[in-house]
Amino acid sequence: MSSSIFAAVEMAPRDPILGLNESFNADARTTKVNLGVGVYFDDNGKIPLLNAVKVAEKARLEAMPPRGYQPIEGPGAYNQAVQALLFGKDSALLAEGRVVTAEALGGTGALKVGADYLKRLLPDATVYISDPAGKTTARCSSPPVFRSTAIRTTTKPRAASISTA
Amino acid sequence: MKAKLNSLPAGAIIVLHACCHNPTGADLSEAQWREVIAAIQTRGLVAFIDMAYQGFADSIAEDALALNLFAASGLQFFVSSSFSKSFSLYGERVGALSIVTAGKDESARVMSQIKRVIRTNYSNPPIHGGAIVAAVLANPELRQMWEDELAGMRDRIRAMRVSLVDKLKAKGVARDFSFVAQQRGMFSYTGLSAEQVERMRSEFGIYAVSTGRICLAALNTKNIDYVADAIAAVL
Ligand SMILES: Cc1ncc(COP(=O)(O)O)c(C=O)c1O
Repeated sequence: MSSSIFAAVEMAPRDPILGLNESFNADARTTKVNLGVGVYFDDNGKIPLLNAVKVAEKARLEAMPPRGYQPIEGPGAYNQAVQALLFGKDSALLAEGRVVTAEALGGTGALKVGADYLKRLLPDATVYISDPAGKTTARCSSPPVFRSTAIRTTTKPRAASISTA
Repeated sequence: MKAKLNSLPAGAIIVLHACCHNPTGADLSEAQWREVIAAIQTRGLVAFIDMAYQGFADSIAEDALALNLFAASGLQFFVSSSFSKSFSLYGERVGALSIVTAGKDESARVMSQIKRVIRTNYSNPPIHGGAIVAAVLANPELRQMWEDELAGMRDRIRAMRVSLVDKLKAKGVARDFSFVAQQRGMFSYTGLSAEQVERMRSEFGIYAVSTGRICLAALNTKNIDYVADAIAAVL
């Protein structure tokens, strides 16, 4: 009888922030409050669906466009809209063709694609992540993403505390 | 921070948050950004600017301050940006990687490499979330509607920050929490210890990260008194 290929697999540590959600969801108290995850809730404690999104989504559903593959880097209209938000639509950088943009799966996906590329471009570089409180565990998406890309990471103690009261 | 930057080896990659620093809520001033950029130039570092909260500090345009300063510096740099928070589209996974190069020719070559990374990971992005965002941004009326709604989220968080500070003071808490009202974005470090955070959870059902980070955007007019009471009780 052969043993399972997973027989020796260890339990991975829980994500410190998303793991908190699991505990929160399991809590039966009606007065419970989740101050852990970085999500905006409205005054009724609900995640809003913005009206601008509702209108655009409704129009899109009514048009029922086909679902072909997208360009690898995502649609040009989307990427140009991103560039205009980041740099301003009249930015000299954009006019000079100095900015390339690729749609990504959220900010985390963008960090991961960037980290993968940096690993090719600068294989031996260390990544420093600003950690103003001088604590060392990861508390947002960026550190684990860089760690999973196997670029050496470290934190920069007290980086931005210069602007803390 | 400046001293630390000046001690890094050339070619080191440094991840910086453009605004609404997660987890502290503490942002750099324009003068401080200029110093950071100067250090990056002197040391030959590579900046990766993570911008997940554009519009949550002051406005879309004002929150791009750091990017504009980097743009004017002539440096090459990376930017990750996200619409998860600003469009409240967390589960659609809409964001972007932008890279600033030295010129058009470099741009074409860099883009070819980025496409290779994407192609070998997930091939190409999903359609729906990005299409919604692009449609809103392309339509002046919808874009205005979005900016107003984003301003509404920003103002509500700010009101909760001010209110929490007031309530803690009113409950006789001696520790100065006024920094919470001055900080921007969703988060602040409360300064609560891991033990105090644990008491908040076990005694009150209030969940915070063990480092003392709280998300102010989860406070509302119905739960803020309860949260303030709990903080006062565990301090
Ligand atoms: C600084 C920072 N970067 C990136 C992200 C990830 O954003 P997304 O949910 O779009 O992946 C977050 C989310 O909490 C964040 O706080």
